[in-house]
Amino acid sequence: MENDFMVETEFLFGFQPKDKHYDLASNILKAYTATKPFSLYYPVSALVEIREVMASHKKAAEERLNALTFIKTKAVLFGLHEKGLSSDDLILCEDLLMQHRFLTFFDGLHASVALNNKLLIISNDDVYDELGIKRLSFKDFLNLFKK
Amino acid sequence: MSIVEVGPKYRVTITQSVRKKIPVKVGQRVYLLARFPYMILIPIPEKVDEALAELIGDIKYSREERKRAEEQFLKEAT
Repeated sequence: MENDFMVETEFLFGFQPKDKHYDLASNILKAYTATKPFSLYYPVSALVEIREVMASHKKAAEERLNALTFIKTKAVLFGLHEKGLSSDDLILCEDLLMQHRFLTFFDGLHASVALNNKLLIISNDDVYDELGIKRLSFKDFLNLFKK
Repeated sequence: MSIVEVGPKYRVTITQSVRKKIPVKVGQRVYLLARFPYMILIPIPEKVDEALAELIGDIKYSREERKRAEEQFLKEAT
C-alpha cells in the first residue's frame, strides 16, 4: 500500500467500550496488528484535544493523567506510532483557519499534521474533505484490510 | 519506603511495602516515565478498556466536544 494513515481523537475515544465506535475501532486495531501493511499514526494533537475535552468536563489532573497514559499504552501495544506536533504544523494550522472559517482549532491542527506528513486521515467527520486531505471512514478503512 | 539496588539488565524490585500501597502483579504492564531526576512508574490496569470507560465513558465524543475542547484551551491560555 502506498500511503500511511493517521487516526485522530474520534478513534482514540473509541478505545473504551462505552463509545459508539468501540467495536469498529477494536476490529481495526486487530486487523492492523495482524497485518501491518502500512504505518498507522496517532497525532499528539489528538491527545491534547482529549486532555482539553476532559478538562472541560471537570476531570481532575489524576484522571487526565491516567486516561492519557492508558490511551497511549493501548495505541503502542497495537503498534500505532506517535506523530508529534511541529512549528510547521502550527503555522499551517493558522493558514487553514484563515482560509476555512468553519474549522475549529483542533480540526486545523489534526489536518496540518496529516498534510505536512502526507498521511491519509481516518475519520468519520467530513470536515476534512474541503482541505485537500484524503479521508477514509472507519468502515472504509476496515474494508481495506479485507482486500 | 524502600531502598533497592538496580540489578542486572537494570532490573529493580518493587518491594512488598510498596506493593501493599500500590498493588501490582507479576506480568502487569507499567508505564515508565522519565521525569528528571526521577523515574515514575504508572501501573497499567489489566483491563485497560474498562479502566478507560471509567475515566471517559461518560463523555460522548462529537463535534460539540471538539468545540468545547477549543473553548477550554482558550480559557486556559488566557
